[in-house]
Amino acid sequence: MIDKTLGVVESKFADIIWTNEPLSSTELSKLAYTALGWKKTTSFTVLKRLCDKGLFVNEKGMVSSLVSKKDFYSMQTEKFVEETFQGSLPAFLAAFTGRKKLSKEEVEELKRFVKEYEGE
Amino acid sequence: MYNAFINSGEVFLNVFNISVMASWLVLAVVIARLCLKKAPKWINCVLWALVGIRLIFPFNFESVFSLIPSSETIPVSGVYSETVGSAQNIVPQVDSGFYTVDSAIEPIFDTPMPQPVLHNNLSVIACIWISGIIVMMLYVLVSYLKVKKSVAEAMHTKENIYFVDGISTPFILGVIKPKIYIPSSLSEEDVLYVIEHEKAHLKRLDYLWKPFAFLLLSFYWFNPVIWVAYIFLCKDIELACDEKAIKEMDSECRKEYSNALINCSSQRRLISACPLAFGETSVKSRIKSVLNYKKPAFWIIIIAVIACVAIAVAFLTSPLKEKNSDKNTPDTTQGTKEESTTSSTVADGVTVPHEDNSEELTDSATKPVEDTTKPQGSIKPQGSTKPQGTTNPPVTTQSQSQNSEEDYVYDYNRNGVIERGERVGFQQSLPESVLLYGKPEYELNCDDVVSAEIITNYLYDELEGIRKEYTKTVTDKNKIKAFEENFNAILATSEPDENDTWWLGDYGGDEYIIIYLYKADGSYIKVTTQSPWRIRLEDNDRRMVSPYDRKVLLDSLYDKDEFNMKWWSQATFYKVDMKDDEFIEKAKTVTKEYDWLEFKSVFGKAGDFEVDEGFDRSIITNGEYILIVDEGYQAYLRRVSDPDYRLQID
Repeated sequence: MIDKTLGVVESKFADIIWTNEPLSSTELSKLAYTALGWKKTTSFTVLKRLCDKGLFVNEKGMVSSLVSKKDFYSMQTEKFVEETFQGSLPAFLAAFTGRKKLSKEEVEELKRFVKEYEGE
Repeated sequence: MYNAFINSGEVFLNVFNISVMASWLVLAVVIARLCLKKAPKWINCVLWALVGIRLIFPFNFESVFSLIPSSETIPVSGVYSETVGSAQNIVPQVDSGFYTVDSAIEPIFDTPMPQPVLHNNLSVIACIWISGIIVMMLYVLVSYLKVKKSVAEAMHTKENIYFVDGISTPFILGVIKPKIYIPSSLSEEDVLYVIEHEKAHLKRLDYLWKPFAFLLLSFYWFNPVIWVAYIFLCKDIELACDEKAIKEMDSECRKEYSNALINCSSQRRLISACPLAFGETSVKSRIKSVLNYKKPAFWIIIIAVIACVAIAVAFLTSPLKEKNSDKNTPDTTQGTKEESTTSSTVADGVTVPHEDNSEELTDSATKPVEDTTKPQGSIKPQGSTKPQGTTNPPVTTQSQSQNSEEDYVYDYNRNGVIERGERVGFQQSLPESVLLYGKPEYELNCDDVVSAEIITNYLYDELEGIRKEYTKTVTDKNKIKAFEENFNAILATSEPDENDTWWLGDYGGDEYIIIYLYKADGSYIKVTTQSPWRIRLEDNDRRMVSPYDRKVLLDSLYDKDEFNMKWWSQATFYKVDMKDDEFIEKAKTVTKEYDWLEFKSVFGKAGDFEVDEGFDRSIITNGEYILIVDEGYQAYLRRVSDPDYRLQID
């Protein structure tokens, strides 16, 4: 399984692509320069890496994503719960709520969520 | 190129000595740190700066306050002296300032080796040293490149702050335009405190000090004490930086600062040259200091500063050189020097009173050593130096000498040891007069001695390349006198006559004196001794006073109230060929401050006078008039034929 984790800085770069896709690699490097201060070469290096990870694709100078942002982060979360809580959602929630109480809104949202999930 | 190779050994030796001096300073600083725990941590950094100063500057300031045991643990001059010939073998001396250390280490260098070999070896060691420096430099270069690579994808936020994935601890990189790199995974809160800490580093210029310290460490890599200093320095830099960062924070903020420290603590890497990593030094101790921080009282700072100054004076200065210089002088004098010293030490304290003026015994040469400082050069005996007396001892004694020799041989030989293990003191007053004294057991009873034979025996005359011998026999019993009864002394002497000549010789050189004291029954006591004898040759160039002249002079000059014979014995007598009025005229220009160079210019052409170290009394005569110059005291004229004549000049 390809390592699909992104560092904070890397994810910022990925964000640029997700927000602006599809865009040319040149444009991307320009945006990266503005946002991160990266040289062109750095942008290309990171882009290549992300492409190798299966997230993006650079076709003839045009960059687009293979995995959407939402999907990507869902996968991340899944992976996290898998690794940390042996896939047990209740355990995750318990840990989550253990540190701070859930607000009323959060509880409502969870309830809705579970209902939705139950439904599928 | 080869010269550089050889010189590198000398350079390394100097570097080594400096590192030893610095080690003492480091020790002092380590102790000071323990005592100054309450003081602000920047004081510690100042102390380490002192160490840095010691390591940078190759010159020493000498002072009485120095507590450094030795400024040259391996004296460079002892190894690289130019005066030492290349054929000569050297044993490098160790002068650590501690006798026990020296005596422990010196045997390692026991086998002397020729100077070039020693230099070669040192140069090889120096090459190893330089290789070590190169290795250290490479390490720095490699680490720097690695770190540079790791921040390639850093995200610039504001000012000089960057966020980076993939680094575990915040650090500063760069010497000209230093940049702060912060792990992207840090929480926002932590980031704030990290920034404060790194900014404090920037303000303190730590990003310059630490690499510089490492540079110094590279040159002194062979000394483990310097490594210890470097580790402590890094620790103290971090602590001082913490103090600076939290100075304005309240206790709540300090707690959060500590949290940030914990969150950032990475694996401990003891040694790093470039990055000033946030979590590098022992986190526990840093947290403790942060949480317990109290603004130090003013007086504590004062005390700490005074301590710094004291340590600087005591350990940055080096001890006064005179303490070391005696040790450094290589012992090139011959062993014979010791002998004449020992012979004279036995003589010391022995007063030789003499009622009889005619003997002209002078308490001479109690310090024959002083005359050895400048060996007189050798001799050119003239034709007139024929031995005076017969060379044959009385026949009667000769035949019987064999069987009694074992009983009565007292051989004061080259090593200053008598064959029977006893020591005979030997004191020379006038030439050809010897005073022998020793313990009563020697049975030296002058009444028994019927004749004496004094043989001055050169082993080798450098000038002529031959062996020479001069013998004087004294058969007149009147001339053999007891001297100090309780010393069982025998004085064998002779009146010098007009034709007596002097030989010049080295003090403690190869010449020695053999004295046979014959008893009536044919037995004799033979004394062989290293000669503190001072005999001068009268030749064309050196117109010294002959024994006869000397005696005459002493006769005319001796005045109980004015002089003592000891003074005269240490005076140097010179005779010049000059008419009376010319002599008097020239004498009047002399002052009591004159030294031999000035006498030369006044009284004779170059070569007439010899520069005589150790003799500050001069007696110059033309045979009739005597000029006496007692350095610093007086200069005046006397006259041989008129004992009452005295003309003060200066």
